[in-house]
This record gives sequence, structure tokens and C-alpha cells, in this order.
Amino acid sequence: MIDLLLFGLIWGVSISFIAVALGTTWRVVGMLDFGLAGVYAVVAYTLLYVYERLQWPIWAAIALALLAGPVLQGAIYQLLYRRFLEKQKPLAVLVLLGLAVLYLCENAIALGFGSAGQLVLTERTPRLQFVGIDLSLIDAASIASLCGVVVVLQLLFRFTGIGLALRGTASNAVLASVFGVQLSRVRLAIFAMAGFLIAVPAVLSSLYEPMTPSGGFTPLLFGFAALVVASVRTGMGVVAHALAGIGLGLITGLSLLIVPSQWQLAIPFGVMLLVTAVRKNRPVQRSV
Amino acid sequence: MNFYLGILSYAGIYGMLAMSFTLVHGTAGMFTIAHAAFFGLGAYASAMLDKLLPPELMVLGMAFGTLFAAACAVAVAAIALRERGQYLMLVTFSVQIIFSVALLNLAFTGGDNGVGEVAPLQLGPWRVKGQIAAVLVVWALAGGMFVLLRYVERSNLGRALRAIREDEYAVEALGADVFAAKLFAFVVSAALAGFAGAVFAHYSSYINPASFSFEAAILVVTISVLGGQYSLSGALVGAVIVIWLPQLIGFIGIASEKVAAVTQLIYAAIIIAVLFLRPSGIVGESIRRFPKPPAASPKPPGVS
Repeated sequence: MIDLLLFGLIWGVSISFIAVALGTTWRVVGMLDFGLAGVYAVVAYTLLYVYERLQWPIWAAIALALLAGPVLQGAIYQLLYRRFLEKQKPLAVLVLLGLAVLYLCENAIALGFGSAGQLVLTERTPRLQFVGIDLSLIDAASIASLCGVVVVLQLLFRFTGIGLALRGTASNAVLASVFGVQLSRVRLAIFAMAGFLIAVPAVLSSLYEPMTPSGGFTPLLFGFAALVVASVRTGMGVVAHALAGIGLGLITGLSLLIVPSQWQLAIPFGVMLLVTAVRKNRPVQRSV
Repeated sequence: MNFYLGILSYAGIYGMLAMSFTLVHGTAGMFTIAHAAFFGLGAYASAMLDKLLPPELMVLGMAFGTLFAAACAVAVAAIALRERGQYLMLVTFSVQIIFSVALLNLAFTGGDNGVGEVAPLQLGPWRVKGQIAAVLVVWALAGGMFVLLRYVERSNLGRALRAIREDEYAVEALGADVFAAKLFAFVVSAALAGFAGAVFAHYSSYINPASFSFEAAILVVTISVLGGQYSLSGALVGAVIVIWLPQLIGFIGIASEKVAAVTQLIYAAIIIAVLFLRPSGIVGESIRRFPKPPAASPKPPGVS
């Protein structure tokens, strides 16, 4: 039971990062960016390549992989998304564009590295005892990094100029631009931020799980479900998205008691359908 | 089995599937990601009933597959069409994922192995023998679906659906029943996808979950975007190109284990290129958005 809860919690942490990345992008630019799963895969393979093949120290490889997320996502925005967002293309077009980016990243990696699962760290990581629970160092780092990121984002959105600009754009982009907010910079900032947020779980999971080119897609689906379940209507919803991610992770972990593991992917989407059917307000509504 | 005829038949079947998607997305402007699920529902229902029926009654099995997909679409629509906007996409996305997981894990659908030994196409007492006959039957069915959907597109209902696509609030303000029109488009589209699935099952003689996965759902969207999201003929053109593409890649000497990755890479590049260069697809919209203004009537003699 404790093991399942712990598994659910750690899985929930990954989902939370992704839900926050999807949620902030959705709130500010109105795009459900499936391309983030491609960025997740690129970050994970960057870590693998730099650590395994270039033989960099692990801390340097992690730093470079974390940097790869925002840089790649910013570049994708500048090269692909910007034109479509400026022309206010419908959601269907933006979703398709994101899926195309996902397929490009996944398949380029599959051609370069093969489709078989690959491990970064083959040795066992140090373990910690916390209130009688056996945690790995990576588990503890995952929980601590989520708490840190949520606090930093809350402070950023509430007390800084860029945070105000992001919230203003999320509320009313036209009005924000009238008041001098440069929308292209705000969008670049939010995509880079999402790139970093997706890079964190990519790096952490790569340290204890074999990675595959399509390894980012399942976490992204869970993150998407958490985004809908959180159903944020005002503000940036960082805490709500994080809590929804943790909640879905715990439900998925505990569901293993009664549901076979191969049904795991259906659990968050079952919850999502239920929430969608029951709630009065539209999920992921953008009105502020 | 003639390779080219096989490809042509599959292009016809996927063309039917893409045309059904065009009705709901291109004509009515409703973005759904569950078309592979409805395709699968039709295929599985028809293939499983096929085991219970004599071959002469195969048409009944195919009709059941079609109606089963339509009935499931009504259930999905009950949740998805309650609100506007991205609601439909979210619900159909969930349905597609749950359907894919269920197909893989349910014992009575054969799990990962799928359903084999599905009887080949038979229309009443006439069994479709030979590949040329199969190609002709598949494309005749695709032609029939094209004519039917063309008729719907040009009817008052089709005009109402296109108007809903442009601005459903305005259409509602004019007194039209937007919900009923959207429900019609969604359910008929799902039924036609189910019918295409039934044809697919009997043509292939074997079905498995891979043909109805999330990737298959994206394949339908790719066909539609490539050929033309708003055009029925575009759906057929897109299907021919997309079904031929992996075979062409196989011909240029790429290692067989890399064909799938290269194909998906090319699909992705095509989607991006089409969205950038020609958002309306290769064919574009097949119906003028507005009717031509009436020609000015000639002035009667003697009037200056």
C-alpha cells in the first residue's frame, strides 16, 4: 500500500510538472501543446547522449539537458508556432501543429538512437529514510523540485513585472498589448518556461526509467488529463494543476490494487470523462 | 495478391473514413479525435457478428457495425455536445484513448491479437472474388459515400452546418437548431466511419488494435489536412497519397525497421508544410462559401 502510494506520488510529481507546463501555455496563448512530449524526449536523449557518449559528469549532463528544454521549445515557438498564434488560428490547427512537432522529435530520435529502451544510470541511486519510508535520492529530488518550482512560479506570477505581463495576457491579450505588453516576448517567455517545466520530469524520470523515443507521450496524456480535471477558470492555476497532477498520480497508483497495470492509461481519462460530464462549467475555460 | 490493387483498396477504405471526418470537421467545424475509435467499433462489431451469421447475411453484420458506431456516437455526443468550443475535442480524445486501451486488454475482442478469419466481402449471395472485383466494390462504396455526402453538403442542412462552422452563435440567433444539426453531423459521421471499418474488417480478413489506435486517429486527420479539410474529393486524394507513401519509402531502399519512423517523419513534415503553405489542403474547399450573386437583369427596352 505504502509502495503504491509512493509510486503514485512520484508519478504524480511528473504529471504535475507537465500539467503546469500545459496549463500555463494554455492560459497565456490558448494552445494545447502536444509538442511538449517531443521536447520531453529530446531532453531525455540529450541527457543520455551527453552522459553516455560524451562522458560528461552527470551534473553537467543534467544542467545541459535542463537547458535544452527551454531552448528547444523557444526555437519551436519562433520557427513554427509564432506565425499561427499571431494569425489566431483555431485550436484544431494548433493541436495538429503540436502533434506534428511531437512526431518529428520522436521519429528523428528513433532514427538516431533506435527504438529500444535505454538507461542513463545503471547503478542503484542512494536511498533515504523519511518517517519510515524508503525513498531514493531521485524521488526526494522530484518532490523537492516540484515544491520549489510551484513556489517560484507563484512568486513570479504575483510579484514580478513579467508575471504581471503573463497574467495580463492570459486575461485579455488585446488589452494587454494596448497597455504596452509585447505579446511576442510574453509568448516566447511562456514557451521557454514550459520547455523548462517539461525538462525537469524528463531528466528525473530518465535517471531511473529506461527511456524510449515515444516515452514522453504517456506522461503528456496524464498531464493533459490533469489539466482538464483541474479545470482552472481564473489566474494561472499553478497550484491547482500541480494538485490535480498529484491527485491523478495517487489515483493511478492506488488503482493498481484493483485494476491491472495495463489499464493504467484508461484511469486518468476515465476520471477526466467523469469530471467533464459532471462539471457545470466548461473544463479548461479561459475566461478570467 | 496484387500489391498495387491492395494499396488502391486500402486507399478507398481510408478515403471513406476521411470523408466521414470531413463531414464533422470540414463541413460542421467540429474537431474530433475519435474517428479511429468509431472506425474500430464498426470493424469489431461487424467482424464479431460475422462469426454468428451465414455469409449471405454479411450485409446485416456490416449494417450492425454501422449502427453500433452510430449508437456509441450518440452516447459520446450526450456528453460532448453539451457545450461549445474545445469540449468535443477533450471528450473524443478521452474516448479514443480509453477505446485503444480497452481493445488491447479485453479478452472478447482478442486483445493484442485481434480478430482473425473474418469472411471476405460478400454482398448478399454474390461473393466478391478476386482483387479487381474487391477494388471495384470498395471504390463503388466510396463513390456512393461521396455522392451521399455531397448531397448532404449541398442541402439546406449542409449549408446550416457550414454556417455553424463559421459562427454558430449567429446561426443560433437566426433560430436554427444548432444542437440538432451538430448531433446529426456527429452521429452520421461516426456511422459512416463505422461502415468504413466494417468494409475494412471484411477486406483485410484480420483486424487488430493497431489499426484503431491514437496514431490511426491522427492518420485520419493527416489525410484530411493533406487533401483538404473542407473537401470530400480532398479526403480521397489525401487517402491515396497517405496510403501510398509508406510503400514509396519502402521502394527507395530504406531499411525495413526504419520505414515506420521515416514515414511518420514525412507525415509530420507534410502536416507542417501544408499548414504553412496551403492551409486548405491540396484540393481546397469544394463548395463556394457564398453563392454567386444573381446576374443583373437586362434593362427593359425604352428605359434609359
